[in-house]
Amino acid sequence: MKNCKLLAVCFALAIALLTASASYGQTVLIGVGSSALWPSVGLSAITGDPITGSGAICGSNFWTGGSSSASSIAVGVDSRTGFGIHNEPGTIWVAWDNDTAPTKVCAFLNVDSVVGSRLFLEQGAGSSGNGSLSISQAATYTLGINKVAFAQDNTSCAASTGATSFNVSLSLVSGTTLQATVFGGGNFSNYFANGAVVTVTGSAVSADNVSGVKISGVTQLSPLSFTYSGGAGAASDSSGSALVTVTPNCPGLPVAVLNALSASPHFTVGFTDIRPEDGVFAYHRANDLGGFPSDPTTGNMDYAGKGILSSYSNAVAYPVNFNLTGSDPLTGTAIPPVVVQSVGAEPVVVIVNNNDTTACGTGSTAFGNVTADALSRAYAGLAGATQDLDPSLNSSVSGCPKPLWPVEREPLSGTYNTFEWQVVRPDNNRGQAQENYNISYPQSNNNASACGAWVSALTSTAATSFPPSVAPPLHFDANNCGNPLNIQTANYTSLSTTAGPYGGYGGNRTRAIGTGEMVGVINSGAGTANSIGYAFYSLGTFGGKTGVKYVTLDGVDPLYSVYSSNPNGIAGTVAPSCTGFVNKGTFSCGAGVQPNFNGVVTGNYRVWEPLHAIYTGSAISTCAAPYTAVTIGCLIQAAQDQAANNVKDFVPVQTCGTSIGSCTVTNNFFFFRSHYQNAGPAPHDGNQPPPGSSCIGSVPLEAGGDMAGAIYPKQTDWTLQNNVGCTAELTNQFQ
Amino acid sequence: MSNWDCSRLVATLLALILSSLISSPLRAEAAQSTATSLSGQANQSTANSPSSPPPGSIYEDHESLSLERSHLLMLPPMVLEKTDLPTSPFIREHIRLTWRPLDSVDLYIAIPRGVSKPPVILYLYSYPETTGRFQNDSWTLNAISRGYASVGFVSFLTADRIPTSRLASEWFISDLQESLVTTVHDVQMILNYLASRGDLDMDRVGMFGVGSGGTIGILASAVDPRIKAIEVFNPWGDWQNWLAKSTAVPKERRVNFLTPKFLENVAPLDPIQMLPKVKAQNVCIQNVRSDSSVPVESQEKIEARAPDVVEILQFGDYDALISVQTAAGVFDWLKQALQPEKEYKVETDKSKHVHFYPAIGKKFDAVSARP
Repeated sequence: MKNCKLLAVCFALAIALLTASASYGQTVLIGVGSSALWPSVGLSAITGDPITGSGAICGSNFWTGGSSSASSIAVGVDSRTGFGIHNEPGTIWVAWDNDTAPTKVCAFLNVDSVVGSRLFLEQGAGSSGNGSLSISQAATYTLGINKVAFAQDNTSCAASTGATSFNVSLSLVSGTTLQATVFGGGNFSNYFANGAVVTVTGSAVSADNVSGVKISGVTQLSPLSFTYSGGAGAASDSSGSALVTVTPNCPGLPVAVLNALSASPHFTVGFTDIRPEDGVFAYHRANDLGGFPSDPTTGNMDYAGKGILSSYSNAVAYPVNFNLTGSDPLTGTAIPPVVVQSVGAEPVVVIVNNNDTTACGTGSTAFGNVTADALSRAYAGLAGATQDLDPSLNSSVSGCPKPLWPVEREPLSGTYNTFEWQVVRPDNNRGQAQENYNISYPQSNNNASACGAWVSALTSTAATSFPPSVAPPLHFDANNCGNPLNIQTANYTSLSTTAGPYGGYGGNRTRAIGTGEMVGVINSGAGTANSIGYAFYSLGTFGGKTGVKYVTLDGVDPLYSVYSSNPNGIAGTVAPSCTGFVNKGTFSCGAGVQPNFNGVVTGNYRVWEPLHAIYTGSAISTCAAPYTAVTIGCLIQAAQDQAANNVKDFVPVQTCGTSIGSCTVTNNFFFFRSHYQNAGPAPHDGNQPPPGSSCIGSVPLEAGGDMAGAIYPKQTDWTLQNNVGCTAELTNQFQ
Repeated sequence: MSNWDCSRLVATLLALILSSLISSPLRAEAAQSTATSLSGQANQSTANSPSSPPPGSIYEDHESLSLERSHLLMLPPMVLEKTDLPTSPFIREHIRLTWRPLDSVDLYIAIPRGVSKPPVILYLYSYPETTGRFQNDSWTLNAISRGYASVGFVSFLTADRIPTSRLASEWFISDLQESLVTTVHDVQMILNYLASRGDLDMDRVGMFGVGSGGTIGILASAVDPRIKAIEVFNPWGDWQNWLAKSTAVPKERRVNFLTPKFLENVAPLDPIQMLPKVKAQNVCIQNVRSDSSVPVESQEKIEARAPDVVEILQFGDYDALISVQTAAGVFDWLKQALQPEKEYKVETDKSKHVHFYPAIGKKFDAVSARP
């Protein structure tokens, strides 16, 4: 009888649970990974598909926040507790359909490719699952920051309520920072959120009165206090005469949305520039003394347990082990089968600062091309002057030669690895690398005796970290020089042309973490006007960066059909004058302003990589009419159609064709990189054949690395499939 | 003829006609219902006397590769489509043949224009590849080049050739024995049909097979001397290893196929067993080591069992293959082998039968690739 009662209770509970679930069906999808797909997937989440005309997949509400700083409001959490693994900070977008009872919630945390692959694939002990998203409660009282280009943060402001003006007491906290509390006690309204704009008037201390400043220090909805920056001479004023007025706003991420994300926090899809097999290799290469597969030329990267630091900020990246298949290397938990799907191809663009327009400055109008070999030498630490890039920069005018300042990315980024294996260290030039191997460079950082003089001789620069000052230089203890990236200059007489093959020009090499930082550094010419860098192209990244110009590589333009006819006026300037917001229907670009990726779609440009999505399963996720399901397949499909029609950030592998209102999946990109065995299973190119082929459904799914693979037309594999059989393919070919 | 024999024949023919003529879904339902009784009778017949089925009945012996112990009845061929453009160098027919209930074989026959009684090559690609390529002009042009007729088809339980009576769990590999034997029977029936046409040179018949199609080519050649030459790519075989390691077998299902019973049933159908019995005068095995659908050790075992006259081409990878014969040139060996005897001479020196072409692709190994 007792058992019977227990059974009845269980049954009732089960019914209750099922009912609850059915009455409040909530779908949460969380992505993690690289910036390359971050904006396109964001747009697809909130604006739907421009070809099928389907509505927004995740709802029209949108909030962005976070940063790459450790104090970010959003972080990725590795589920493998007990191994001292750091959280991974990043910027985030969140999209949802309803403020108080959301049924659809999507989010995407932007971190490095390899970090994203790791957070998606790693498996905690037991049933703890893979990595997860953690968003601080502060998101609910922090304004969105419009981080997705051409998308405007958009909340329905359900939490907006209360008065907009309060008499306040002002207390000087430090410097010119003032803390405001409600005069007479009480709390401010919900309008007072981090990032809200206020005007302060009426204070007896005139420096306390400000207009249009953003507040911070808010720790809850309806806060008891906030802080803001006053002018010089700011002082406390407790008289209550000061009146603060806030601009009405939507305070932040709705509580119900935050709760939904907190209840289902595990990452459901990873987005990465390089395939996860290459990501596993990149981890080992950065982390281990031996590398995996063994790679003695980079054996001393040795970032095991140490942060990879930026030269320009507090940003830091940590190498942490993970696997693609089998079991997790730390916990031994089985890894579920995953699919790695190519979404679209995006070029890495070589960029230089545009400020120095002298004869040997990278801003010279005569300079518009660099060869891959010259670039490789510059990044390998074997070339230190602008003239080493291209003969057009070789000048005898006063002030020339000038030092060249290569800026590299961190070794865990997809951009770094794409550039490394496709430019710096291709198949015919394997001895060179960005991180080191500058031992052949006279008096380089490998020369311990020169280090002290060298570091002290560095010129004042906007790069704040020589060596990085934000953390002890633990990871460069081999020579105690602090930063193995720097090309040593101190033992050369300035402008000497005889002190060594490349000496005397003062070239340096620094590291930026994240695409935004890289492009920002080159745009500002931080440290030197003649800086050179590289980044995956995106309209949002390059738009408005007037200090940046791109150059062709081996004479091939990655973006436009003709370099000199760049529609932006100045050849090579990548600042398309697009305006408005896609999700507001105001996005506008002049005809031909956005790139057609001519070098990529013709197969001539050498530095590009398919952008990938990783998700669990054994078949590619597809999207069926009405194309609005919150699924990975629908998000990818809409992102591809967005890229083909609105913000053209990459070349979609396929689109829904041209027939508005429906989807006829159509191949849109006809080249591939040969795949090879790296970390994981046997390689497969995965070139799914065109309609009518015998091989539809019979071609093995993509597997293996491809970042170092040779470029071939897909027809090469299709011809093989057609004649020899569906498993025939060109693998293990290197660029 | 007794009443019982007569009604059984009528039922059999009705099932055949229904299965081949009635369109789905009516076809499926009607044929299935008729086939149930047919199946019962056939089983009864098999149980009574497997070696001697009642005269006139439809009977198929899956224990025997030869048709001698089976009785399949060919219905009149149905021409579903014929493409005969004056500007095209070939005439292509899509023909449906039926000789067993609930199953039919679609042939894609291309005959080079202006060639009288051309030699003919049967093309059978691997499970699960479809007939798509046989309708593709570029493939067809390549196949009929140098004056050869091509006949393309797919194996049993492959692509859309799955009887409606079959469960989803029944597929080519789960029913490997039946799939192989049935398709070997098909090859013989197809040859019967081709011979009946009178427009092909049946003294010069070759068969090109890939993967499971290669295996079937070997098995068919072991029982039908009309096939004068076979060229097979990566034939499946060495079953125990193959079933345990081939990427063509889903990992999660392997355990079902590694049982003693399953292996015992397919053992007689192993190219390792059958290669010495092949009747074709000219045989070429082409193996691509990098193709994980056939484990390297299985490739090597099959090669080792090949008679001395078999030409063996070993390629490290597909790049090595196309560097030797191009993707479009993979049919050339067979066409050469089907040339009149005076033009094609079998190499008698065994050492010259095996050719190895190392992989052109490299490993992702920074150490060995360093200058």
